[in-house]
Amino acid sequence: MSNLASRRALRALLLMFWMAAAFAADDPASLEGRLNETMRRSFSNATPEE
Amino acid sequence: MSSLRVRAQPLLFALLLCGVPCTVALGDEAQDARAREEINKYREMLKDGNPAELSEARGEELWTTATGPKQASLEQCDLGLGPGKVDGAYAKLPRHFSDTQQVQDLESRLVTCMMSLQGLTREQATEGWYKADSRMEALVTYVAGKSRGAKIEAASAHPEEQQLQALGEALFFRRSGPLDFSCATCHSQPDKRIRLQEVRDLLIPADAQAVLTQWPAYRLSQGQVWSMERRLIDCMRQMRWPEPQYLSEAVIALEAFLQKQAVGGVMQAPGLKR
Repeated sequence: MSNLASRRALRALLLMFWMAAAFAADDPASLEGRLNETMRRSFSNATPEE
Repeated sequence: MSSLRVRAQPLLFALLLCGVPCTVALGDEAQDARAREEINKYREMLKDGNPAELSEARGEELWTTATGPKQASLEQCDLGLGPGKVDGAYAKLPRHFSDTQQVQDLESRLVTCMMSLQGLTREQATEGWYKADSRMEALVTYVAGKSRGAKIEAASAHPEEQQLQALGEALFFRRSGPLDFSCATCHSQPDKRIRLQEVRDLLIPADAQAVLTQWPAYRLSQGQVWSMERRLIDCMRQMRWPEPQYLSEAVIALEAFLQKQAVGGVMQAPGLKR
């Protein structure tokens, strides 16, 4: 595999990991997703500045 | 002889230099231990006249008095052990309730009972919950007092109970706010104190038990009884977090996690705090 091809493969792999992590964070079924949802609902009176 | 004295002098000086910090450290430790001892003596002296007993008596009256549009008392409220069973119920909360499909702590469960049995609205049920001599303060003190001597249990049979404990744990370590603070920042180190107040390491079961068995507690500095939920909401304020909503899932999740940490502790609430 050439240098360029391996770099592209690495980039694609990193992108896949990042997307998987991003989706997991928003997935209410995951702990992280549930925590984010809980925080949103529990602190919904707070202003963004707070 | 004189050359020996000349050689010994730097050695003595070095020993003296090393000894000073050690002596200071030992002195600090002794002073800390003495302060803790004195604080405990002070608490023991106040135990006999805990003003929370007045709140407890008022709570019992509110529990048995018919009120609201439905003119009903709370005596048939199900706190997890069946309708009307109050003894030991507080030591097993928060837990999952099938009628609401939620994990509830005592306060959120009381609100459910006030709405379903007495016909109050949520706003009416929670009105002035933070004020001294509020209905919620009295009811929480009464129900918690009925668990005196009961061992703390953390319900985990229902998946939602396990989920909330895990959420509470994640929240305990979550750093937020302008100070980048988490509960763990203060409560994950042994033998710490802020001024005269011990700051317990809530990751150590004995420390978690010492805390959870005392709440709700009469706070001398506030002149009123505070529930565990109120204590946690105020902790968040002290960390400069935004204020969470009363009865919100984040607070109940933290309670569920702490309850799990304190399993086995024997309830002594209502306690007495600074």
